[in-house]
Amino acid sequence: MVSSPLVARVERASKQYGEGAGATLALRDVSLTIAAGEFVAVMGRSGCGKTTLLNLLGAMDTPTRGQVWLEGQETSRLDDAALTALRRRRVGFVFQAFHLLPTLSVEENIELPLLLAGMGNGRRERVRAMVERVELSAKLGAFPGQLSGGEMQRVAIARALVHEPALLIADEPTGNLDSQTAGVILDLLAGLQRERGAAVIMATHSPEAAERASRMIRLRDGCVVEEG
Amino acid sequence: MFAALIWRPLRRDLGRTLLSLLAIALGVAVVIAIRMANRSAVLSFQQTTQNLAGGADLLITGPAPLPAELLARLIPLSGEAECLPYLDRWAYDPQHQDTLEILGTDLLAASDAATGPARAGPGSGQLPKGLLLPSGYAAEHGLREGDHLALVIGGRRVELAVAGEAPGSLAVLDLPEALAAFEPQAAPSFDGLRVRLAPGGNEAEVSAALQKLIPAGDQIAPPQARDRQSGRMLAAFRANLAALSYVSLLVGIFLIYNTVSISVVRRRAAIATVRALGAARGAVLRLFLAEGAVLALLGGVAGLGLGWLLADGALTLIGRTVESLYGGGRPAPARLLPGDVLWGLALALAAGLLAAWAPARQAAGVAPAQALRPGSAETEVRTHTRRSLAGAAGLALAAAVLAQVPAVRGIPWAGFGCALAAVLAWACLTPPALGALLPRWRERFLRGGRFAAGMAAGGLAGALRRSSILTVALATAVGVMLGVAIMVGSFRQTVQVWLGQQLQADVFVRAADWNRDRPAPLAPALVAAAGSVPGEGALEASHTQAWEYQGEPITLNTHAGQPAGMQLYRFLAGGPGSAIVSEPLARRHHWKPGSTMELVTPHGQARLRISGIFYDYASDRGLLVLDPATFAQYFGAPAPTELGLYAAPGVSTADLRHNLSLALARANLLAGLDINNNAALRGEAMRVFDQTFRITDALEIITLLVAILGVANTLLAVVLEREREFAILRFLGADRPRLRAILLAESGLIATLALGLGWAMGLTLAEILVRVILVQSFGWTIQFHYPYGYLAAASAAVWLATLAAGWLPARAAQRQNPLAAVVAE
Repeated sequence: MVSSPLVARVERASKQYGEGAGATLALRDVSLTIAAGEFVAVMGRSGCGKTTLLNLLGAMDTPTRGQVWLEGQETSRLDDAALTALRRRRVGFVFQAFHLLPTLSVEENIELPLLLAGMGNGRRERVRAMVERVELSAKLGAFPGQLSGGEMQRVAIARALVHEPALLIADEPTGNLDSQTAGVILDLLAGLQRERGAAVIMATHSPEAAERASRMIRLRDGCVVEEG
Repeated sequence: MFAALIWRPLRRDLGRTLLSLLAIALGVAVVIAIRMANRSAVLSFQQTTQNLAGGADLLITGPAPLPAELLARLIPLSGEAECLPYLDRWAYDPQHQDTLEILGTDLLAASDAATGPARAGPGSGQLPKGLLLPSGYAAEHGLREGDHLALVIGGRRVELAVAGEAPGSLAVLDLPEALAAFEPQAAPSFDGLRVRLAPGGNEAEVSAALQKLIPAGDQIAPPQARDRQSGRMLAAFRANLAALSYVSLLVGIFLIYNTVSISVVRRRAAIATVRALGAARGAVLRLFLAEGAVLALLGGVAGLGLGWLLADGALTLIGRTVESLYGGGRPAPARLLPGDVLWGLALALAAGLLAAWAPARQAAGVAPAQALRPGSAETEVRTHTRRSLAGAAGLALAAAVLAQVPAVRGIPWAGFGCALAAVLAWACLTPPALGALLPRWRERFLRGGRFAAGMAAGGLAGALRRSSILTVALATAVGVMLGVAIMVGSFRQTVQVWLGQQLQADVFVRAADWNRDRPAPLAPALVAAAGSVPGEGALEASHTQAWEYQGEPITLNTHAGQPAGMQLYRFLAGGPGSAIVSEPLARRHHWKPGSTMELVTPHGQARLRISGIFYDYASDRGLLVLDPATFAQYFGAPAPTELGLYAAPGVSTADLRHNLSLALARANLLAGLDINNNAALRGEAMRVFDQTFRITDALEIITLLVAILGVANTLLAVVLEREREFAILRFLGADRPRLRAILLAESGLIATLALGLGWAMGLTLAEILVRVILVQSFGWTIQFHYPYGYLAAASAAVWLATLAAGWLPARAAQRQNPLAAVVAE
């Protein structure tokens, strides 16, 4: 079993897509740990395995070989329903393309994880508090199509943290933003991470973004080549 | 570009493409099947005319049989024309429980279409002795030359040998044999004369000369005039069926719209890319119009095949109804003609282009920069409320105006227009209604923690135009089903009440070969025997015969003997008197109580004052009822064609019937009779009624099927279109059953909305059907009666079927790979 301060642990994990001649090994023998409250940046070129690693850590996928533990549970041993439940309770996601639901308002987008968790009383209050924290109170009833890129990413961060996950996974969260807005978003992410004590693992190409992290992992061709 | 943007995506989504094609194919198939069956029904009349005419230039017919002396009067014209008498009668075949129309003609003189090369076995060249059967009848009942057929003719059993086969739809009997079979005791008379002009004869001159020699009221006309008359008689029936058949195509149009519309949404990025690369708006417009056209044409081709397959079934249902309501022979097999193929394809193409127009314009208007922006997705939450409301008001006004416009030659074109305008008016109200409802529902459901329902309402609200079209398509099918159900339910209840008033005797007697066109008179001995049956309280004698008024066939009736004070008619206006007419007849001639009709009778011109107009649903042909004295004055003493026996107090119907059968059997008069008690006769009448509407049931079910296929198709597209959205939900922790629940909730919401709108449409359509179309088509006024049980059951069935249509898309949503969907973004 993994000791309690650890949110996630990866042990000699490999991920292969496809079989035979067309097989691609996206991740090779990767091992790492993420402790509670840690901010980890994952860097590397496109196709180096960053997103694959994030998907394994976020219980969206399981390794072909090796093990991934999330909140003390080995993901390979869980079925789809259990993985989903784990994700719902303990993981938050922020994507490069924001991925807000266009047919829901800002408030409803943020509310989604709480609805999925079946939270009854206090749901609205928690959402309102989160909206205030990301400074979007004026846009509560707006739809994603009416927001700027920075606003959309703030909504996505609020959605990722509203249910107080243990691990926040951010895949290129500033990839579609200008540098000024990116700075604001990274400040917000770092601030919230500190306030809530969640571990953050963020994939990024940007050295500026990586500088905000407490630790950096560099991947090349699916292998960890640098850690520190 | 067509291959990349249209053809390949259609092939990639093969299942969905096939569903679209099936929906269009069914729409076209129904139109073509009804067109083919309708034509065959008319052809059966035309074939009968052809058989009767036997190549003659003119036919002489009259409201009453032509006396044999007439032939002697026509001798002076023998140099200019040859006149050949014929009989056209019906017989009942009890062994095969079928009826047979028999042409009695002089086979020695007739080498014509009716007898053709009469196949009379080895002695060909000789006059066939016995009955030549239509090949269809012989084949259906396994009859061969030399077999004997025991027929009921005029309430008597007549045995005839099968002598061979006759081409066409009529059985043929040599005239002397026919006269012996049909008129064994009466002085010879004929149903018509075939007139063949001598070579070089002038039709107009011969016609004028003949007119002076034939009795007043008889007609001389080319055979085609008879066809025109039957065409007019069937026009309203055919037009109503055709109109109903086009509803499924209308639903199909909505669905093509949705299919192309979804294509536009899904290929938005691709459209933006080709636009960015220099493709003009016009080129994009043409591409998506082409998609509509390709789908419609492929569906149309499949629809032609399917229509050809369905035509036989439709013909069976239509043929029975036409036979019950209008007489007419066995319909010829339905044939697919080149005109049908062209019509089917033209309709499909027009429907495809019409439906694709709006989405194609939407595609042409895609702004490349906006569409290529990361994370952008099209949502349509805007509605043109004012425009929609104005459209709805305009269409409602048009419907109100059209409802006042009379029918043209018995076809309620404006009534159909009124129904279409009413449906479209409701359709116009749908987007603003959904635009107001769905966001509220989304908020309310999500606030209440009902995740799936909230997401479903949000999904539908986010594609408002498509949701509206889908709702309208399903609602149209539901509305037509409910509207027709209310009309049929009202009609059924009205007919039941009417039958209760019309059929009050306990036991009825008539010849087994009773036929409305020429009901056989009952033997006087039989009437006398029936009058002295133990347990009988009263004997009502009714005489019915075919007649003509201003060249149009009507039914003439008189009756006497019903218990005092009994009222057999319910009057729409006026009351009892010497001459009363049915509602359809009064409407055709704009009569009111007090109007006068000039009727040609065997005893000269009668001026009849109409004292009342009564409800009658036996036929739309028109019924004139004279009191016995008036009838006798103009037509002679009536020979009863039907008897109604009323049981004396304390005597049961069963006992009365038993006593009657016993009395008739003792007098050797029972053979060839049809004896029914009241309940059986009413039951038979309702069976014929229900049979009449079986074809409409079939059409409604197909229309609903088209609409439900559309729901499945659209939801499948929704799954593909919202793949990313579902993937995000999976990232956020929604499990597979929740995705399934969203899709099922969407189909449930569509079903609920469509049922709400469908009920509004149905109630409106029922009003239009009952108050406009039925009155204009057939001249019938009926009382409203809502078959609540049926309406509730049908609504529940539609709701469940629509929910079931969401099952396949729900499974598809469950199987999606969320990682691939997000990576693709």
